[in-house]
Amino acid sequence: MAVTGGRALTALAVLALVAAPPPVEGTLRDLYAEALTAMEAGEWRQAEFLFREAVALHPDEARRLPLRRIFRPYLPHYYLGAVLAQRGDCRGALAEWRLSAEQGVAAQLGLGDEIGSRRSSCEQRLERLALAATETESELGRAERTATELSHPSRAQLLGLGFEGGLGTLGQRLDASRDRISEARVRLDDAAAAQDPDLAEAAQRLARETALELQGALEELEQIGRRVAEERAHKRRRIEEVGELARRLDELLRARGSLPPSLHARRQELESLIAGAISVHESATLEQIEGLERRLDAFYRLLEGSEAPPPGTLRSGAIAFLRADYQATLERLAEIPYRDPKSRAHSLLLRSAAAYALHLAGGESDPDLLERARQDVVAARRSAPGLKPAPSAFSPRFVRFFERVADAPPGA
Amino acid sequence: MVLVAAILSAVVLFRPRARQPPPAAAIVRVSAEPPAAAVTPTAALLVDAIPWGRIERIETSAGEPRELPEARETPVLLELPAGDWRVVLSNPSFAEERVCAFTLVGAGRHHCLVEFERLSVDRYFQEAGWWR
Repeated sequence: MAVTGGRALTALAVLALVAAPPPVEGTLRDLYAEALTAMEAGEWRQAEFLFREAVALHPDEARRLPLRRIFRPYLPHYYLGAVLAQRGDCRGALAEWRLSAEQGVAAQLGLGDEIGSRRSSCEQRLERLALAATETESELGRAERTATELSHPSRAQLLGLGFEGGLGTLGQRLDASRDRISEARVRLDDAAAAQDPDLAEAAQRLARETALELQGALEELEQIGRRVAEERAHKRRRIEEVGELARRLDELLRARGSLPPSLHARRQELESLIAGAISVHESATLEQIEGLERRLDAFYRLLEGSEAPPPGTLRSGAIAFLRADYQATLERLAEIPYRDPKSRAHSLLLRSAAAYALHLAGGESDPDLLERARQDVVAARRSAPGLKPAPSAFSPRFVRFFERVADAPPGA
Repeated sequence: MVLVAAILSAVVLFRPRARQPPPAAAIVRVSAEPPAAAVTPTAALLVDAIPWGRIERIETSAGEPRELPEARETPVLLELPAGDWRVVLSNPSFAEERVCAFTLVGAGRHHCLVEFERLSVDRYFQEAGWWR
């Protein structure tokens, strides 16, 4: 603003000179002298203004100012460059030094080396600035691409899962990152305007951190997405397994026809459990699915461990015995075709008890019945060594008989 | 003469008698098979219980006890003279006794069956260890 104001004043002065032709030499001499004085006093702004005025009046440098009382070399570009460099305007300084070098006066006067180090410093500064700007643009581009990728509609579901997975602040992190991208851009613009490589490098650091933050968020989100996808796949597998277990249990239940008495009271629970397990949906939690599986498994073990119910003939023989119809018991269990030891043993036990009861009912007068009872006890024990008559169903007398025969040494 | 005496004896032995009603707790079933012999002083009585019982008392309708047999757990075959009898049975799993009340009207084999509890076949197999 001051420069613009100065130019206006200069223009007014020039107009005044045109209106009344001034002594040009005197004006240039004064301008240049004042410019040198301002420069030596460190008044860089004033010096720049005055050197620019001098350049405007007389741009050509000379070993001597063509004025009588001035004996110093006239090097306005050279000094303007120095002043601009001092003010941080390296771009302007280099331009002025280039103009000065083209004219060659400063070199003739041996000032080339003096400006060389300043020029190198400015060139390095501008190189740093350019490099930082390029890097910042690159980092910002990367950050913006990642931010776009994160907020892409195709990732909306993943983002939702990310929230479930613990990335509740991802939206805030994305917003904050976008703010930092804007801030880095502002800093970069300021750095370019001020030709300040430090500022540009600060912008670069901010851009890099932002890009890394966004990249981290993206990787975190993708990791959560993968984990959630794995959990879903795991849950689907568990659902299939639970459904399969429920179907097997259902088939087992149908094959058995009836439940063992210990499960009678739980039939409704079991059927409800099977139906629930077959139709379980992904909306169920993994804990719920695993709970279903545990309960199904427990039922399955109970059913599988229970084996089949007693065969029909054995049941029929037992029914007759429980009615105290011993003759019918013997008739129904006359043949024992079972291969499995348990059915054989239970049949023999009932047949033995029926024969023994008939022996007692006949006044203990039929030794054949007693012998049949004895043989059946022996055979029953052979089929199932742990078999014992239940005290609730058999009289103590038969229980003692059974134990006496069963515990007797072979051949006794 | 012998024939007349036999007819008189039969009339005396097989004349109808008033039956005592069984106690409320008793479940009584008395069956008679054809007599093996025309006239016998005693009758065979098979006492049985479901699932089983122990004979605690045998007494006449007047309450006169009769000596108990050595083996008292059912089934038990008793030899009793004709008359009205009560056989009282117990089972340690049940608080109430069961009574078998009947009238022996002649020689032959009679059957008295009382019931404490009839096990279902499933419960029997459960208690017999089928599903263990």
